[in-house]
Amino acid sequence: MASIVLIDDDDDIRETMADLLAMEGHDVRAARNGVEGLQALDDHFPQLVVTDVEMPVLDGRAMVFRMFVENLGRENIPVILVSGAADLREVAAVLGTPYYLAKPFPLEALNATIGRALTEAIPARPPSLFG
Amino acid sequence: MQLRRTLTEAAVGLGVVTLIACAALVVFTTMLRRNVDDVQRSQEMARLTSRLAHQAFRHEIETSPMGRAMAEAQGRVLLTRATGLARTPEERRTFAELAPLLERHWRATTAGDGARLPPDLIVALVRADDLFAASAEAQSGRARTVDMLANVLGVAIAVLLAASVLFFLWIVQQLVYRPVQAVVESVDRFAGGDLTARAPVGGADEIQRIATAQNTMADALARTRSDQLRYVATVVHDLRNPLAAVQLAAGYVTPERPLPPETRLREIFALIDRQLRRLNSLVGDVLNAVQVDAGELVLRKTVCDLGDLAEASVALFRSMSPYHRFALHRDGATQLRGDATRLEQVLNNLVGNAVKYSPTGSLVQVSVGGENDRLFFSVADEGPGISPDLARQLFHPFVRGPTEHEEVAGIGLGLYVSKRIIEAHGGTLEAFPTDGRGATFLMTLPRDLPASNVEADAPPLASAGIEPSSA
Repeated sequence: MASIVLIDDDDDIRETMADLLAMEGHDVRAARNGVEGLQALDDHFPQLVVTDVEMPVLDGRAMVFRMFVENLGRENIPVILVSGAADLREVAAVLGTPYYLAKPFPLEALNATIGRALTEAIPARPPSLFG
Repeated sequence: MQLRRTLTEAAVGLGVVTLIACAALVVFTTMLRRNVDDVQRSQEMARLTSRLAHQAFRHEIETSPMGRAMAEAQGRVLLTRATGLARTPEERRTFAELAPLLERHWRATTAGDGARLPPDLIVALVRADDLFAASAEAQSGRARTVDMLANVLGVAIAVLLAASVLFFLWIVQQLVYRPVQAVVESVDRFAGGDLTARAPVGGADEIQRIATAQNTMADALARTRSDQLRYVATVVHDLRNPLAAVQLAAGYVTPERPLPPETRLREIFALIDRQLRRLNSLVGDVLNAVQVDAGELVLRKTVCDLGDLAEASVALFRSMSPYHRFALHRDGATQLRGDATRLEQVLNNLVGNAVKYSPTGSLVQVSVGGENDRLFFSVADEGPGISPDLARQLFHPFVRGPTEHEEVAGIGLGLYVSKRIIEAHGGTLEAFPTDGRGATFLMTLPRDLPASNVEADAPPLASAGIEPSSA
């Protein structure tokens, strides 16, 4: 049972994931792009961020970097990247997060990753910002 | 360095050296021959002088008048022959001095017995003999000098020729052999899979041009390969989203949880259906683009009416998007010979793009008409429009207009394929950049299909299950 902000521009994926995670007992706020995601982070300080990478307006990379711009505590929230991009592993390394899931994935994989992220709670630490 | 010029210069150089060698050979043989002639003449004159002395002596000791007459006659013959051989002024003077002395001797001995060989004749004969012997010796010495010079010159020319040939071979190796081998090695490495292999540009200008051409080709091939890899990566990425949605939807039905209520189940199956359609449409787009790229775009020529096709397309999207307004203008005869299935695909792509990229409630204007031997078709929408930058790239693969929501499905291949289809018909497809709102696409077509790209018996491509394309 955790509060999660979920960001994905694909309506079907976002709604399905939000619905399924709610059925698992999580408190889910959904957003369609990075700007809406940052807004949701301000409104509801979650325990976990699950975000797509390639999105219009503001993509997942830029959104995670913006989480560090102001020291509001958002930078300590663990981030799970969810994407079909071929270079997902590299994006995760750039953002310094150990949690990523390549699309497509089964629900159990998502649940397992969320469980691990909530237990370990390792926040994203982009090497370019933290050396 | 130009190979042609270098080789010409080397050939000319070798030719000049050979010519000089030949000329020197001719000069030296002539000189030696003249020398030998001179030696022989001097020796002959010395011999004749000795015999002349012998005949003079014989004339003195001969007792019979007959013997004396014989000796005198032989002496005269010898003198004439020896005088005839004289060339230099000194030789002529020698014989000129000798002749009157001999004449006096012969007269004196013929006149009275007991006349002795006069001492001045003896002195003259001995001096003549000495002169000719010395002359022969001098000529021999000169011949030896010429021979030595000829030897030295011959060795020098041989060395020069050998050096020239070696230099020539070295130039060929540096300008031709090594650079060609380097190009061949780079081609082999490239063929072996090392796409970074490039030929060093060196050697003769001609070889440098080969290396440059090879490198240009390698660049193009490497670029094509990286383009293809990017193409595949983009396709795979775009296929993963619908796959992810379907796989997530499967998560609703698990052994641990009760089934969702019926209304939710219906929504889930509608989602699965929607995403599978999207997948199918993407796969169709990719297949279309692959066929176009592979040059397998074959048109089936039939008589059709562009106006009717436009009406059908507008009717299709009117039913699919009830919240858009459509206006269709027809003007003039719009019959043509072309591939109706392919043209329908293009019209659906253009009208579909107008619908997808413009807000609900806005107007999509379609115009179709014909004039003389050309037809035109245009679509104007009230969407965000096309920036000049985007207009330049719009017909490239995987280029898509900016959207704020993922509802605009597609992979960015529709316009690429449409343009290729229209070009195969001999027509044009353009987008007009607009500053403000709305985009306009204009397509023109000839009434009759050009002869190329036509195959009457080709199977219809629609059988491959291709759906209306997207931008």
